[in-house]
Amino acid sequence: MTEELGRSRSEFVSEALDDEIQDENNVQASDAIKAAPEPLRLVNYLNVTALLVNLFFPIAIFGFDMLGNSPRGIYQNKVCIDMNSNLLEYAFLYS
Amino acid sequence: MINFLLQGVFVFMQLTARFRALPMVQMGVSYWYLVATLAQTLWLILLPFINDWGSLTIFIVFWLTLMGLITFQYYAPSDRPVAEYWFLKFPFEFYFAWVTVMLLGEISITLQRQNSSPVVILSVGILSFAIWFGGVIFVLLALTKPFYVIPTIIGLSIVSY
Repeated sequence: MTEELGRSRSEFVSEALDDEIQDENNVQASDAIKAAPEPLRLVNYLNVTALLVNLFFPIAIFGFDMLGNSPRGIYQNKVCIDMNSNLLEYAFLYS
Repeated sequence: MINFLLQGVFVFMQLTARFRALPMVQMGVSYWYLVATLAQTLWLILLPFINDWGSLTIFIVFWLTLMGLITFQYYAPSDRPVAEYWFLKFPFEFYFAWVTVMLLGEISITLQRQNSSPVVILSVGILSFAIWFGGVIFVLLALTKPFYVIPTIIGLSIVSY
């Protein structure tokens, strides 16, 4: 009791200030966590991969065909047949 | 070309800090886009080497993966409806609608190449038209969040035929 009463006013003030600073630091840290952007996840990377795959194959096959290098001209023939039978399919293949 | 542009917009936006962690991307699109792309690529590569029924089967798998994507997006919670719709949902609705139209064409081509009788071709045509029409009515009237892009593109394609 004597010890508690014996604590000086300055010690109480100092403790209170420390607590306040601590609280403020916690709030700032919490704000920083909230403000930090979410990291990219696997799904985000896979979506990029999907787009690249989606772009690559039609362009590659089209290029292959244009150079006349497709196996036995098989894509070219197929596309010609499809052009005659269904223009939409051709448009889709090389859209 | 429009499909690729729209998908490019989606891929760019889903990389941004604002959209990357949203349920519409993580739960809605999830792995469906990659699976759909792989199915489409498989179909594209195998197209000349397999018979029409094989081609049609792979195409139906491709169509179903896109339908899975659209369905998961439908049930994904959305905080910013307008931005999420145009950047994250619209590209896939457009893609799905286009592939649906293509599926109609694929069925028709397969039957024609199999030298099916006119009665069979006409019957399948009428039946598929009825199914698509039912589907259009369903997505427009039966859902709490109707799809407008899919019926529009299917309707335009039918008119253009």
